[in-house]
Amino acid sequence: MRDNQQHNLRQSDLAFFGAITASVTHEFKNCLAVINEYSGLLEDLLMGAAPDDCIDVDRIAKVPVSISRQVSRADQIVNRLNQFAHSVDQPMVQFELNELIERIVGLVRRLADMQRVDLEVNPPDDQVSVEGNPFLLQHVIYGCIERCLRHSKQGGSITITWKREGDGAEVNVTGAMGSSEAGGADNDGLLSLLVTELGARVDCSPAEDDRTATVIHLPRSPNEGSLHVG
Amino acid sequence: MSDRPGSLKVLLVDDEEDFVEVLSQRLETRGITTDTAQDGIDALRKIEGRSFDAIVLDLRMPGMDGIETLQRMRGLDPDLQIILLTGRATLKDGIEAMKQGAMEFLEKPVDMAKLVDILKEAQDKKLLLTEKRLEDKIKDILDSKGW
Repeated sequence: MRDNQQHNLRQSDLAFFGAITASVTHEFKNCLAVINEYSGLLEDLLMGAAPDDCIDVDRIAKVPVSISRQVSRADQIVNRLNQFAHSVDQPMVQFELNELIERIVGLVRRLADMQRVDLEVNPPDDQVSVEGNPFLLQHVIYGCIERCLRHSKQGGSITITWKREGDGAEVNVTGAMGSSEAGGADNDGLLSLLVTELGARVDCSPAEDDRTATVIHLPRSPNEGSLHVG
Repeated sequence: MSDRPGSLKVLLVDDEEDFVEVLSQRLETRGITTDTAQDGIDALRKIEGRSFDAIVLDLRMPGMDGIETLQRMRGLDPDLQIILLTGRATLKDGIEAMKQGAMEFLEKPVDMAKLVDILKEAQDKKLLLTEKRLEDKIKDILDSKGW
């Protein structure tokens, strides 16, 4: 790979990391805003009561339950971001494809929700374990989803499925796409570079509802590329 | 939403249902009449149906975002005072909001005392603008009759 291609790839990796972090921290801040309001409501209910007034116990009792729900939501958001951050720890490691895809979908779901595009995940019945670079694979899947989002209308959908394919594995991202990209063109060249660095192969084919299926074929062993399927 | 005569009427627009629900409760305990909407389309429908003194509007919402919703609201009622809320206050967002006619631009979590002061200021501003519009209309009628 040429130096400028390497440079572009690293810039793209950073942009991906930044986009995910920005979206997730925004969502986390929303949780804090809700918790702040509930805390304020508690104060209003307690401090607003005159000395001889009865405190509305039923109303107050609901507040900790709501706060707890938001704390659980925030915890889930942070856990996901933490796992994503750790995906750069090692460039070659064994990981569960199911967990990785659920994680990246969870991280980008808010972006799809903003555009009112449904992000549907259909996992296989069994776990698919792979060996390779989890950060790169997340970046590739994100790139495919982001490409579909660019061309999706409100009410559209993107479907992600994955399974074993012979000794390897395949990940299928199906959604709207521009005509040149549906034909296999990679307009900014970055997705192709990422796939090459991953040691994988990608092809596009028409799917139902005028959508396009982008299939990422993951190799069998590290010798065939940077991914090995267990 | 039951109107209290003379009370400040505010529409809260945010896709976070919990946030808008509890903010509504807190404002109601302070004598402010509120209604809520969870997206721009619903908010526009409510504005067409009734008069509000101020709108508290989230910047980032699914579908029609805060800026587009603000533009359409101003088209329906130019005197409407709109306060934009955001979880991430950048200078760029703030400038864009003010250029589009927002009265104020606040970052979440919201300081309740500050928000109430701004809403009261919004009510006064809207009243002045409405009175001015009425005066101008009366003047035009009188001028047209040569009085």
